[in-house]
Amino acid sequence: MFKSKENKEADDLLLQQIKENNMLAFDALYDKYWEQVYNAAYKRLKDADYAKDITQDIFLQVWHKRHDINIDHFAPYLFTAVRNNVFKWMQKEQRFTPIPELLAHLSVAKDNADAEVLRKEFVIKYEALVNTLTPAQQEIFRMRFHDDLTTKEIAEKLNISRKTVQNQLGKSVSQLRGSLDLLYFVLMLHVYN
Amino acid sequence: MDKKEFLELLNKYNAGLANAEEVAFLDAYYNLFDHEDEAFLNLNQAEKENIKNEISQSIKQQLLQEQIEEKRIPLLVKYKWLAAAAVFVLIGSITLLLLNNQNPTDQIAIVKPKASKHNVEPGSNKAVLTLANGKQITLNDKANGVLTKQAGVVITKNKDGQLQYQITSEATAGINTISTPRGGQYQLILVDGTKVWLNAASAITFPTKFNGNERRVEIVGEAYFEVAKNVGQPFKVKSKNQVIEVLGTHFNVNTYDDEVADKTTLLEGSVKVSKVTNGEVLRGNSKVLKPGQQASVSADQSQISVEIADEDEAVAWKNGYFKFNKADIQTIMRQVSRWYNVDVEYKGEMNKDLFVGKINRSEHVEEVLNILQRSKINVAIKGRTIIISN
Repeated sequence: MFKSKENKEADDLLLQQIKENNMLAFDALYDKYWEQVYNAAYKRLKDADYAKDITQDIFLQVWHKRHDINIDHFAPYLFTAVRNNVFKWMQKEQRFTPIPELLAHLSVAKDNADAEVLRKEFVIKYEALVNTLTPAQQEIFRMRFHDDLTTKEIAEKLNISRKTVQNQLGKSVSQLRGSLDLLYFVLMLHVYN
Repeated sequence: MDKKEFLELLNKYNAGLANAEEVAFLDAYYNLFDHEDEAFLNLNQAEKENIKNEISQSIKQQLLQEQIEEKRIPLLVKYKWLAAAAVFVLIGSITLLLLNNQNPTDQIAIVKPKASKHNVEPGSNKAVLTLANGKQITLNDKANGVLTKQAGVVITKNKDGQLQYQITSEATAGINTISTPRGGQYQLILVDGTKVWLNAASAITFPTKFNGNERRVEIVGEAYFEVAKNVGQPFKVKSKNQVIEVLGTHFNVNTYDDEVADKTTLLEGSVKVSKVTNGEVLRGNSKVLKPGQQASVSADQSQISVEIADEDEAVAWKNGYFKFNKADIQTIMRQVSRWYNVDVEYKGEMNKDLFVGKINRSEHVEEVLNILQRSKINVAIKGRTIIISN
């Protein structure tokens, strides 16, 4: 999340002045936030030109929409704007950074506690995503990982064969195959338990 | 998850069709990058400051462009150095005052150009061609066709008003000069196919045939070149303070004596600019330009400085307008003076206001004066002299 270097009131005042077409206030806001915006885009795209484009677009948008938008919290607004712009670029440029690569970088991060939080958060969200695949897969997945039932217990509960349970779990897990080695192995252990 | 699956997910998200789990996943994926390398890891403070200014300028440029397009009329926008405020909000930066738009009297009305009262017309296509034998031919918008033949070189004026050099087998090289007066401009195509646009109060000297291992021309004033590619025979443009070496490319060179520096602006390709000191190029006094860069060479500065160019501004004259990007009144008036063939007098101390804007070069001088007046410049005209007072 972006840090508002001073207090929120300072941003509110600047935004109010920007609404009154004050270019000086706009410059002040740019001075305050450009670096965080640029850096956030750069970390994801690893390309100075794209990062410049995104920074330019975001601040142009702030000016264009100054009369329409009601930005209560400017820093979170910017954070979301950068993220959405980065995703648009990733789509346009067909850019995907393999997940194991990112996890590997995280494991050597300086701030290990923070990195660990990000990693855990990611694993949880990834599981949740996998769970959305089909209702049948979802049910089995939930029983297996959330209720911690064995495949045999699930088979009995749902009145299907253990083989079917394993197949369904296998399908869900196959979504992880390829790049997410870490999660893949963890989940594979669960499938045959 | 592989690339294909990820991009499908991204598609859904960008189209606003992602469900809660997908959004949460992408959010978490995005956050994984937080510990990637910082953008400024290998940059020093000056490089960082450059990036900051580059983005900021490009934002201002864009906003200004929109402002101009919205109004669809020529105007100059006043920049002002903000003495006190600048210290804590704007250090070294400039504010676009018109965007404030708070004063309704600043609104600009559309004024129809009327017939000139002062008989000061804008410049037009006119020049004098001096042949190798000293003979002079006046060039203007009138007759087309073959103008002259000299030693196997046929000079024709095509229907676009360009002077075209064609060569026959028995040609020998002779030196020609084309010079434009104040209030004149001209276009020509050299024998190698290179196109040259010559601005007002300028001249180009060139051989009718390029022999030897280079193509060499000399200029004074301002010219825009589209050099025909010929790797085996580099093209060289010499002016008082510099020489530009070219393979095949598009660039503008402004070498007017009353401007602070010789400015070379590269639009395409690559050029090498070398500073000339007492007739020769000293070692290490060269810079290779990339497209979008501008080199400045001046007699009183030992090094060539290279900046990001406003390409549009550099070639505005060739495209039929004046463009000012943070120009002071003197810079504006030097261009007006050359194009309208007028003199400019200043009464009193001029302030340091900077202006931004575009003016069509085909306007009568009255319209230009109107624009200046609306931009709060105190201006009057007497005969062929424009008087600016503070």
